[in-house]
Amino acid sequence: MKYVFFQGCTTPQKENAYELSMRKVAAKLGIELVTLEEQNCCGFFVEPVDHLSATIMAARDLALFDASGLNAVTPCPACYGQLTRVRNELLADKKLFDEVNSALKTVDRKFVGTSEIKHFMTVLIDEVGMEKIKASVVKPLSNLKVAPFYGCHILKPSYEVNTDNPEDPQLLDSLIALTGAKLVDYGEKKLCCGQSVGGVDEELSLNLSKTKLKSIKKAGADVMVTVCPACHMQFDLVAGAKLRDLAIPVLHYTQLLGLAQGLSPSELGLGENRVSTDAILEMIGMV
Amino acid sequence: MKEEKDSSKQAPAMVDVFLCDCGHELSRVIDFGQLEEHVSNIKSVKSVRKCSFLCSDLGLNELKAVAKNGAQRLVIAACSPKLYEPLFRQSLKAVDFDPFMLEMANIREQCAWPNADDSLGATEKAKRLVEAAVAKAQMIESVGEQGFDIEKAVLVIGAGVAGLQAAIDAGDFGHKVTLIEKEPVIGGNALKLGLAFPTDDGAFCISPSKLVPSIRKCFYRVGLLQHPNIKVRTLSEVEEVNGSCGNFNVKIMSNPRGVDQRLCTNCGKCAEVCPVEIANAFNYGLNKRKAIYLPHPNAVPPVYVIDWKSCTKCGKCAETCPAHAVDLYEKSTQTKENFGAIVIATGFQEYDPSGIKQYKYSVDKDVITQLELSRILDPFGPTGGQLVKPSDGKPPKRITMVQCVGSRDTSTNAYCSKICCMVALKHSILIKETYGRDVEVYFCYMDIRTPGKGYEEYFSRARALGVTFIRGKPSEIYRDPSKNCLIVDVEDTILNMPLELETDLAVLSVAMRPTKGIENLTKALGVEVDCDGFVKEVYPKLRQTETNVKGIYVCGGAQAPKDIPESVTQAEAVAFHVISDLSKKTYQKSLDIAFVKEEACDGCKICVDACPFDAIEIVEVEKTADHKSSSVARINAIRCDRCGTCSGRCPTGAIQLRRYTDDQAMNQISALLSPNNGILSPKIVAFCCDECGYATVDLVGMGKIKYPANILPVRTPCLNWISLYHIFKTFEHGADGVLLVGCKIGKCQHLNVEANAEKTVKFAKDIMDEIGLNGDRLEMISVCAAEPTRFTRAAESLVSVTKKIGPVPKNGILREDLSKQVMKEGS
Amino acid sequence: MVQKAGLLIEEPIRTAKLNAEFKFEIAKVPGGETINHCFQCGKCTASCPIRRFDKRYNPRVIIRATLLGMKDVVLSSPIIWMCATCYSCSERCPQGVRFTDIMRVIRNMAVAEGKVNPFYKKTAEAIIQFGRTFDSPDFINEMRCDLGLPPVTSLDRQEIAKIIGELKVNRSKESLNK
Repeated sequence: MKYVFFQGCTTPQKENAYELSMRKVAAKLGIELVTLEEQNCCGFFVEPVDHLSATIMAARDLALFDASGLNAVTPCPACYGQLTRVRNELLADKKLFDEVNSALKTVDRKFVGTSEIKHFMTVLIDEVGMEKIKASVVKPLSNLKVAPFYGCHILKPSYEVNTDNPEDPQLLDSLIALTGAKLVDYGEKKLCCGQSVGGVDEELSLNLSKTKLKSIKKAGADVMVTVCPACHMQFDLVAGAKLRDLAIPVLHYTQLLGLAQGLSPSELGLGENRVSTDAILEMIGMV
Repeated sequence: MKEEKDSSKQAPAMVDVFLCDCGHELSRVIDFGQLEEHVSNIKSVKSVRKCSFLCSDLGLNELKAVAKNGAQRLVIAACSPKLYEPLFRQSLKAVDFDPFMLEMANIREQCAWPNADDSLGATEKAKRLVEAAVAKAQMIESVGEQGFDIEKAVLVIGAGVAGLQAAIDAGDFGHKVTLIEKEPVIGGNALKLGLAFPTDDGAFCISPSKLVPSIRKCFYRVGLLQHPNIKVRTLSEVEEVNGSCGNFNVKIMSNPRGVDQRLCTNCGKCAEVCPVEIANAFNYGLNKRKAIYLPHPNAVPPVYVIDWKSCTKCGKCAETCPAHAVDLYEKSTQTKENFGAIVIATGFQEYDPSGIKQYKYSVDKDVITQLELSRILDPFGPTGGQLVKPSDGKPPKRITMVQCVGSRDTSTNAYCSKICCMVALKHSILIKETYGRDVEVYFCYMDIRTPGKGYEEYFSRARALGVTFIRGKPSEIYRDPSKNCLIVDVEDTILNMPLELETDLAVLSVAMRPTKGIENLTKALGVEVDCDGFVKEVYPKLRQTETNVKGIYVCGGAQAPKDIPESVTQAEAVAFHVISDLSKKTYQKSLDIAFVKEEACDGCKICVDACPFDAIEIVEVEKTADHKSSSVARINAIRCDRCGTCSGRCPTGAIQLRRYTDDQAMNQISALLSPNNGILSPKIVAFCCDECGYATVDLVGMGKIKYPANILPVRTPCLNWISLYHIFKTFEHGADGVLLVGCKIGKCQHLNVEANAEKTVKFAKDIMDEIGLNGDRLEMISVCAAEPTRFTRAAESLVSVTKKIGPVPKNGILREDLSKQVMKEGS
Repeated sequence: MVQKAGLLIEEPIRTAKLNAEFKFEIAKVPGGETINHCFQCGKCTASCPIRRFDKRYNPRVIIRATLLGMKDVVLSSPIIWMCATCYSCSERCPQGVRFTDIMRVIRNMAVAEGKVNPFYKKTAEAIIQFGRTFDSPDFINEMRCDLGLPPVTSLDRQEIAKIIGELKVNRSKESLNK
């Protein structure tokens, strides 16, 4: 299993522990991640201002993937959604396909559409499989009570990213269960984290996060697990700073799985987490 | 059955022609002197007679005299055949002249009237039309009729209100009816409803029988089982169907009841001693029943039944039964019976909303459907009519109706299910009238639809009783454990504010779907279903009860969502069809239908798949040296609807339509288009389908709306009949343009939903562009007679386009090599 | 003038002053095709997490104003920049109205008229200029080196500018030809 690794912007800028833990877990499961040079932003935050520019930016990345001959995997669901959507749009609209390729031609690039886009979670489920992941767990985290948080872009819109049922998602729950941890269901499981609206109205985005954290606290979870760097940033960095009394430790799923696979906290970049993970590391005997 | 006269081996028939000028009306435009002279010079014309009112008694007598006097073929040039062709045929039959040896030329509605300002053109056109009619008449063959026996027996599948009505009506008339029902009791969904709108009385109710006085209203009046002409078979289903209208051979499987209908006294002792207790599916699991049970007090037949899946065969019931009615080893029976007609009345089921996860159906016990609420409110139901929550049996203080669940939703069922507003209103009113202020009722809707007679009152009554109506579609239903109730998130779109509705019971008004098992049944019957799975009607505007298979009818919820009044009325309509079908001694079918030249057929099956009426099958014949294949197509005479679709699709020309064979048609076209004297130039042949196409052109003429005389109309059975061969041969014979005029796509009564003609035209246009003939010469329009200008505009446009392009080259063939190749490939 | 959710609307609404073309303009842009299917059931609004915490933002009202033709009101409103693109609305709409994509089309139209939220403007401009959300990767690479990660990938930002320019030039040539 070999993939082109598409970093996105958020992960290298703010969530390097996600990339670190992902690389470590990938190595354990036999997934080869190839760093592709010349990656640019997928265009997700350009869309609201200029769809055309965003499309060609995404197309350039898609052209890079096609040239590599490999499928691409990304840690960020927004990139996953954006790249998937643009790829689908280009393959369905011949006129747009020709337009974009004629622009790409001027820099010697070509979009074909052979490479598929995957999110790391979908690779784990579809390519690696539950059995193999379970087999890699050497240290079941049975003392941990985990609140899963999918975020929005890995699940919706289901007509573009068909990973799981957005109304009753179960896949991340299953992945967490494989580590031996206990799942905690909470009322606001499907609520958006509010990250995307933070730049426009910080108080609004904090209200969303606050409501979510209250619900998780009520349900009695020790730790939150995310699959999106932006969601992680919202609950670790932002809530960690602005909602101190509500914030709980937030782990990337790859960090949780890595711990269960016997990797050390420092190997998984737990030191980077702003909300201290000491309490949960103690619970699993890994101080 | 008369033998087909092989016209090619005998001397060609001679034609006697009548030219009627409709009381000098037509001779004001058409020069009848010229016309008469021209027609008399046609080689195959024996005589030409001018007359004024051929349709009068005098005229008809003259017609009959000629027919009696050794005439072989007749041509009448007059008004539209749609007016008097039947009258003329009747008159001919009266003097023993084959009524189908007559061809009419329409020189009034399709010539003199629309071309009243162009005497020269109209006269030339009349000459063309009469010549074409003569050419066609020469080649018409005699076909005769075939009589088919009709079994005077009707099979009604499904004993809900629709099936019961159809069965009783047919049975009252005197036909033998077999009414089968897959459940152990009759009544269908009506048995579960309790009260029904708009009368607010029992749903398990039927209209009076005209024959058996005791059959009226409540089901339990055993009169149904004593009807002399109706045999009720419960626990029965259709397994296999063969044959056609008048003679369907049906295999019916009856599952064992385990209790003898003749002996059971309905005492209930068996159920008392039965050790097996399971969830009662009739009441949606809200209570339990035994493995031997009676579904409902109003059960007909009033006999207990054994649920074999749960029965442990312990034998206690058999021991206890005082009437010795229990037979634990009863076998299922299979019968094969013949029926003249079949009625599909299988009804509907509620859509299962478990897939709509945000509403938590099948996750939370207090989220139920309207039918489940019916069971709760029914005094004969699991709670004795007490309104309680399924979760804890306590009375709810607040109930919320959620409308359009799974309906009007592009991701589930796009259609509106018609009855849910009324059902929910009915329940709301019932609850408010019983419990008053003790129960608050909320009603979340998108639109309130109360279209029937006496229906709007339900909406008014509900408001008067204080039901709270909220215009908004809920996004989510979830339980709040701290408040021990459900929360419904919905936007009050009228107040423009979000509502967090606390409710104890959420009732989902789910979509109406065809009943389970409809796919297997329709497949066995060969009946088409529509895109939503309901049985497909032939013509939605006027013929909702007929299916694509002659002799099989549909009524009630099986055809589309509808309420009791409509279901019953439709059932009466079906009964009329059935009675009418079965009242004849034999079914006489005129054999001017499709036929197969078996030697030319190579068994490719294209016709079998294309036939909308399931009228063609492949049979094995003895292969002689002349035969291409031993598997050949054969036409089922009863089912054939004479559309010509098979002929239009056939690649070898083996399958043809009587009176519209390729040879006849091309002979007609050739005569229509010759000679090239330049008077009507360009020449446009307009193929008009015999339904809306021809009628539209007629009505344009009757409205005296003008269009160019260059348009030469030709009557065709259905545009599906037209193939590439016809189109290209028409150009070869001298047409400069071809116009296809047919019914609206998808609304054709020959079920032309695949738009075969459209595909043929598109393909032809592409080829014409390739070979330099220019595809713009060919056009197709979909019209109805209420849109005359669509035709006239298309006619004018095509004339001006062909004028601009110029005439087709003299010999009609542009590139001999290419056109030969194309003809071979395209056919 | 009245406040309807976050939209400032002149009362009474004079339909003669409304822009009947507005909804068709949106429907013509890829992503906006489904706008006319809305039948105002309100399920989107009931599902919206932003709306839940800020009553000014109301998806149904935005569509309603758009379908009525209130082009200026909608494009000038600050609330069109509040959508978090969570897609809950698009997911649940019974008529398949892709509200999130329509929001993007409306936003693009507002930008074309010079009306854009400063945060979005700043972010997009930076991304187009740098090819990603950050300019110099030096500080980031220091962090990454400490963690044992390879430095962030190289990037020729001129290429980005070039292809965006090419695409736009070709598009405008085409619309001139039409």
